[in-house]
Amino acid sequence: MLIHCTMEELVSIRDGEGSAAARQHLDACDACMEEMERLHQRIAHLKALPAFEAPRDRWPEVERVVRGDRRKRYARLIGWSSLVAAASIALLVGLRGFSVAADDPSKEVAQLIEESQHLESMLRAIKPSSRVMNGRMASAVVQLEDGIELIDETLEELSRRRRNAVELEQLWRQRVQLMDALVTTHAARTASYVGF
Amino acid sequence: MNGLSVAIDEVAIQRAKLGDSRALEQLYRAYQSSVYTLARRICRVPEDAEEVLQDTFVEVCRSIGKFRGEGPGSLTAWIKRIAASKALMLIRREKYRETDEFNEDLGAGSTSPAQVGLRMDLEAALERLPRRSRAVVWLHDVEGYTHEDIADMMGKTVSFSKSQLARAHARLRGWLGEGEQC
Ligand SMILES: [Zn+2]
Repeated sequence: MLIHCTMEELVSIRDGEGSAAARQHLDACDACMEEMERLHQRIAHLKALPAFEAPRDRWPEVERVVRGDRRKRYARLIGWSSLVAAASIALLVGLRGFSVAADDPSKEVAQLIEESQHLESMLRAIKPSSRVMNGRMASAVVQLEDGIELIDETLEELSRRRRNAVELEQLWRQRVQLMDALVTTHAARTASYVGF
Repeated sequence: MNGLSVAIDEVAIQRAKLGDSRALEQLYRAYQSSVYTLARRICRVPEDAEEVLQDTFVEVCRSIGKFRGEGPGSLTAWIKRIAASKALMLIRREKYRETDEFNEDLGAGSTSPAQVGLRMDLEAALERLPRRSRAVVWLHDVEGYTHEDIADMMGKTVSFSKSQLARAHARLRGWLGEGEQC
């Protein structure tokens, strides 16, 4: 009876463990009982400590990182790895709705995909990331890239739902338009770069 | 345990699993306080806790598609587990080891003469615990993890977790003294 419970024993007993001898001692010893009560109180106080609030909203940063992931995934998906660096804002470049009059939309879509891939390979040939860009040009490129990304996201979403041929064709057509504008922008820059 | 400030329903969880960014943001809003608090209690340093908060939600966004649990309860457990692992990873860093040594030098374990008459409050005492004791006491006593869970997350043994918990309480008991029961 002379040896009191150690903190390790008290903590074990609280967890429903602990040796029979330690339990027996606890039941018979006021000092240890008091120590056990302190332990319970301390834990109750720990649980009652107030929550913290993060000083800054981290969501924008989380979103930025995750968007970066997605961008890389798309880049892999469409084999287009040289343009993966822009932030996502609203699409500003002429996304006009198209009235589709094709007889065979799936054939039309296949053609557009092919065209889009062709433009991508042109873009790769220009190697846009390897050259210096002025501010206005950079922002035009970002807008175009964002437009393309927006379309890619919609295309991916569309692939999960029931396919809508008309919508699909419109999207691919818009994508081709934007890719074309992107190639033109980069080509113009390359020309001025070479000429300078 | 800290309650959620925003209710999360099954629909929001399903939408988040599909990568819906608004639903993911909703998760962030609902859990950010409890994740940050857990991280802050383990890491102590606000900047590090923010890092844990961010990394936790980046991982939540990346892997929620693979989350197989059902209902907000299991989602809470899943998110908190990610947060706890990140926080434990972070306190392995060098600077935390140095703080531990500093705290040991201060005479942790029993009431040193310098502390006679100086009653620490629980917050301060908790902060002063060596990093691993602090983590164990928080995860076990407040977040409700078992020693098996903690050992698993820390890459240590169950008896390591148990002895850290006992040491943490022995220290807190010493620092808080008789005033603890008020
Ligand atoms: Zn006793």
